[in-house]
Amino acid sequence: MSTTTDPLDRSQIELLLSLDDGAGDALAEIVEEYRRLSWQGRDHLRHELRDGDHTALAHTAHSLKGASANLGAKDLAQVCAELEMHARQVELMGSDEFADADALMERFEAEFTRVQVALMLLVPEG
Amino acid sequence: MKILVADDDPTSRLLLRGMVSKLGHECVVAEDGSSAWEVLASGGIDVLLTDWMMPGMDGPELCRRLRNEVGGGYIYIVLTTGLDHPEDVLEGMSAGADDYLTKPVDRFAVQTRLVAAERVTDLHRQLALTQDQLEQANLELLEQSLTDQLTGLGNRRRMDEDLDRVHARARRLGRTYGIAIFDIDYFKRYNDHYGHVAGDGALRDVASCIELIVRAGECAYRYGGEEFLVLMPDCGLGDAVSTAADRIRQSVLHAAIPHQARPSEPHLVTVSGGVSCWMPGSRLSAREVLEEADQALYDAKTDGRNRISAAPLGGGDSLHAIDALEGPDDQRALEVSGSGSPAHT
Repeated sequence: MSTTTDPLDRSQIELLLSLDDGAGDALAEIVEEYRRLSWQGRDHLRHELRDGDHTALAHTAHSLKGASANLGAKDLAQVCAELEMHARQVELMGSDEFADADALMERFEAEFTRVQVALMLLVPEG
Repeated sequence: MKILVADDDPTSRLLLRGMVSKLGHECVVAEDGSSAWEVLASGGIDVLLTDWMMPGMDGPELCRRLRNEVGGGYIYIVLTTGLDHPEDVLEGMSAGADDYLTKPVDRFAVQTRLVAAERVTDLHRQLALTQDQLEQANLELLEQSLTDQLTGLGNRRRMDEDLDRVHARARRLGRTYGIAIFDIDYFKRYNDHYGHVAGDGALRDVASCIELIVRAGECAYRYGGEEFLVLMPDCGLGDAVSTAADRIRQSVLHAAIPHQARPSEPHLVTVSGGVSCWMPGSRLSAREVLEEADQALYDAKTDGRNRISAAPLGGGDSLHAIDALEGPDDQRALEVSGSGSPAHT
């Protein structure tokens, strides 16, 4: 995993900016909405994993995947997709936990942080 | 167009609303299936952009319900999907979606879907309009098929339908009804003398005279070439029908339409009439009541024309004819009513 790639896809950010012809309010609104739900989502993921609630985990990961993609956070969306897939497999197979859970969560936490930093630079919290 | 965006993810709602508004459309948002349904129910939505997965009612379910609803305009449905399961898209289309969009949504993809949406919703509006016009045209055709083109009165077909209905009603509710059939006296001679165009004119004039007298609830028809029929529901007691028929006879006389080829006085167009009625307890069918009136008409002719003859109540051998006023009395009738020029077109 490379730390030199941009956590945010700039073409997607361009799209968000274009919504109000570069004024930036539309982008700010979406970023703030994402901030709110993504921090909450991260907390949910941690709890669901700890509790072994794989159904809820899959659902949370799915939602976060979609929202992250909307913000251009492709790598983060990818990790969420993997989390979702594993959680669903566990559901199907009926085992108690999935292997690589810790490794996946580590990747998630790292990418999550990078995305939040990038967003902070884009739209300072205000 | 007015577009509803339904998605439980707030960032998707914002993104789609932004794209849709930028393209110049009006946009409304909903966070789940139930609130989307409420918005749709209140009407005015042209396009639905809905996520596949939502709490409560999901995308496909929303599609199904929407397509099963009758009435309202056509709503173009686009399902947004993460394409995790490509076969799901097919399910969505079968459920009634018109198209799908993959997430994250591309702005040009949205634009192209909306172009198609506009085209399809326009087509549906046109279709609905054409259907309305067709229905209207059918109604008019039906009306025409029951109308005599020359006089504007009901035709024989309408008369048959109305008679059956009035008869059935009378039997069911214990009511009465009367029938009066009129025939223009010496009409063939009128045609031979004045020509067929004038003959048509005379038919129209007589029809007008009848319509003048006929009351609300009663109906006049052109029964044959030179025959007219008046159907009078709830009018069968005593002399009611005969009296009414005689007023019609007088109305025609009063119109003072010249008839030089008439072999006897008056040299005006006159009608003979036969009346019959049906009362509760009678075993006659509608057609038999009709026949009685016809027979009474025949009697009126043989008795001298320009008069009304009534069939005996409940059938019987003896006929009692009500003689119309003739000669000097008719003159008096004309004077008494007082109008100067006759109603003659």
